[in-house]
Amino acid sequence: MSFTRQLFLVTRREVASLLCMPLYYVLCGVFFMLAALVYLQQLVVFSQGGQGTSVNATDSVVVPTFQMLHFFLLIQVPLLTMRVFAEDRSNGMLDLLQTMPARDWAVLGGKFLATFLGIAIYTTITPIFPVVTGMMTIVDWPVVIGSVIALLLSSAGYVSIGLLFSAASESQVAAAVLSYVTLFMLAFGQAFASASNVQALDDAARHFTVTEHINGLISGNIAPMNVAYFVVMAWVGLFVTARLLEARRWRST
Amino acid sequence: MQTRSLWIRAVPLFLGFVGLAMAVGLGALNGAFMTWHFAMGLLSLASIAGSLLWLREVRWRDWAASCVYTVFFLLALALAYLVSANRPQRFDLTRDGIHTLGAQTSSILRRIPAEQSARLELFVAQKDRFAAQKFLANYQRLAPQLSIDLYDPKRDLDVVSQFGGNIREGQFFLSLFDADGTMKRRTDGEISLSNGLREHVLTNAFARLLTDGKETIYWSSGLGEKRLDKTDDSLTKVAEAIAAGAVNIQEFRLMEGRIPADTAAIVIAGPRRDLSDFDFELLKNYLDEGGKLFLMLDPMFEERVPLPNFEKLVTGYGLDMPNEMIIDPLAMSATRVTTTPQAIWAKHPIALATSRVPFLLDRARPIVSQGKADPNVKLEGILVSNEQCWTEPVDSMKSFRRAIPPDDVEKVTNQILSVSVTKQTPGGRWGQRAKIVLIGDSDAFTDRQLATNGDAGAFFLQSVNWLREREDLLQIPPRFVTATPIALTTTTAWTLLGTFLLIGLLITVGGSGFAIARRRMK
Repeated sequence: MSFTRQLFLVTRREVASLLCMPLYYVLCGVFFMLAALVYLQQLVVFSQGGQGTSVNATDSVVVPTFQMLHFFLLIQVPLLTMRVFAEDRSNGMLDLLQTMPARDWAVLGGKFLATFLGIAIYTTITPIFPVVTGMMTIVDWPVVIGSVIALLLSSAGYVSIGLLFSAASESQVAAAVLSYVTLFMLAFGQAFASASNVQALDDAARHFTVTEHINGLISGNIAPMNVAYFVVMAWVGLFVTARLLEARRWRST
Repeated sequence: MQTRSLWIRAVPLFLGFVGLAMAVGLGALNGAFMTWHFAMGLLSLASIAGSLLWLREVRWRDWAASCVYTVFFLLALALAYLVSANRPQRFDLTRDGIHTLGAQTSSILRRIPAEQSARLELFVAQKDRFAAQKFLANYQRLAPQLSIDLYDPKRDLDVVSQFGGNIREGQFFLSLFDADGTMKRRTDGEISLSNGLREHVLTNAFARLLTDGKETIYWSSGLGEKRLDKTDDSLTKVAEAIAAGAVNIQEFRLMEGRIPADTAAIVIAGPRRDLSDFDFELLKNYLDEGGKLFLMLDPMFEERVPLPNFEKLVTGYGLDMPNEMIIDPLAMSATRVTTTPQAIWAKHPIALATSRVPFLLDRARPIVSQGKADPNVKLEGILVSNEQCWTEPVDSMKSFRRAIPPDDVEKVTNQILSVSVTKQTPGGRWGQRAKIVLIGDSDAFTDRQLATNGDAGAFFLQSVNWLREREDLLQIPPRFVTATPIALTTTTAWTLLGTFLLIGLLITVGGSGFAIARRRMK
């Protein structure tokens, strides 16, 4: 069986499993409602000419909404990824998959793609907010498209980190906790580095942490570095997970 | 035995953590992270990962191969990131290009001669350092001769003292050096890094730096014009803004009988008395020799003194400025009088260099084309009124606090508020082209009105720059993003909230029901 076929079968199985999970829909609904509340709050403040807001609706409503959406994604991703390997391990499916002629990368890729698709469905709902704004005023559509791409890129990175910890730990709770610790360090490490008052640490943190990269992308300033950051993050997560799966095979032989 | 083996296997883990701490610590001590710091950090991480595998009793050969593979792969990824981090390309997706430096900035930076160099010394707090670096990198991309030094005003006290102490955050010094390293000129300024409105400040500093300061704008006095005496009715602020561009401003009287040789332009701001015949000839000859004139001719409302020689000067270029007043009925809502027409920008090089924010004129004289086209004269509109305006002679005004439209509805139309005149004057003493900017009001630019009057200041400044033929060094205004207001009613807000919450609930309940049903089916 070709790698593509293996990848497709694993992805299909994982997507089906995800769509049979009530938690997925609960998370999706909560994500949407939270996003709607944030959006409406920004919209009301902007329409009333609130202090500190720009005169531009894209700057004051759309961009802050997407920044918050990114934060909500960061919270939700570990809840979806924690079960991916841990659940399979507990019910023996992982052993079954690894003894089958499926390659580790096909298993991993399939699980990654399925979870990423699940998150991408969240993300495809988000343009509803700029569309509503666009019905009331002019919106910078390229910035909106850039923001959606930013959410997708960051989701890919976070999913791979979540998968890494799901593969590394025995329990789902441990996987979620470790993912949260890592993702929050990536998200807020910049603040700690700035507080340390060490210039070099601050400079390095700007490369390693998410803040600069995601804010650049969401605000419509696309730099190769920002895109590369999330691509590299996704690859690092996937690669280390693949190594963990490989190591599991060695241990079991 | 087993415990001992465990300790041995923990050594790479320990070394990995030590290596990681050293990479971060040494980088921090050095004040900058080099490539080898990153490499060391990645090797340490690989060592940690590898030893964790070893601790879990993974076979040595597999572990080693995996480690090498991991290190190379991670290094390749780190390299890819570093390469991308050094790429200067940026894609600015915003409509207003807020992440990109404007075309005028590029134009001004290109003026730095290749053999000269510029140095920017900016005092910036540590928290703003990265933002400053990112912002200034755009300048460096456009001007490779520019070197940038960032200092912390609270830490780099020796540098602060070199600049005389008492340095604020955001303050900068910009110097221009000759090829031999001799400082040619220096200018300073202050930018705010907390908001996006900083490009114009720095770019204007470059414009000042590249202006040699040998030009003089002569400010006419003696005919009751607006002065530069710092009173509310003076034009001191706009004059100071011009002077900030390294141009001398000097008051002079036409009746002195000669136009100085270093005249870049003459400004006549709202005269209350007419030119003498001698002054008229002097000014006319000056213009015929390629002179530059900025003429603000108010309607003579209180004085009721005619200004025939000024009007005759204008007539010579196919224009007429009758002693009438523009009536704008739409101005009533803002100013409660009809005599403050809103000036709307037309397509003109002067307008291109501003944010094109409309501003109000205060009792404006109309400018009318006589329709006689002189092939040597080029007329271009700079400011027009809205299409609801008409004019009334000052002597028989009917509208003031109440708009009384004229019987002839065809008179209700856009009125020309400001025009530029360009006339070819080959071999002229003051240039190859005579240039005039005409506007029927001078009150809009007074210190009293300037701060709250849209782009009135920008109009004045850019007009002077256009006259000086230094379009490439136009002082640029702050860049503003397009205003896209939203009128949100309470009903709309509640409707949106209800709809969104309903959609969210539908996703949650419907989706969960679907998932449970599918599980049961399975």
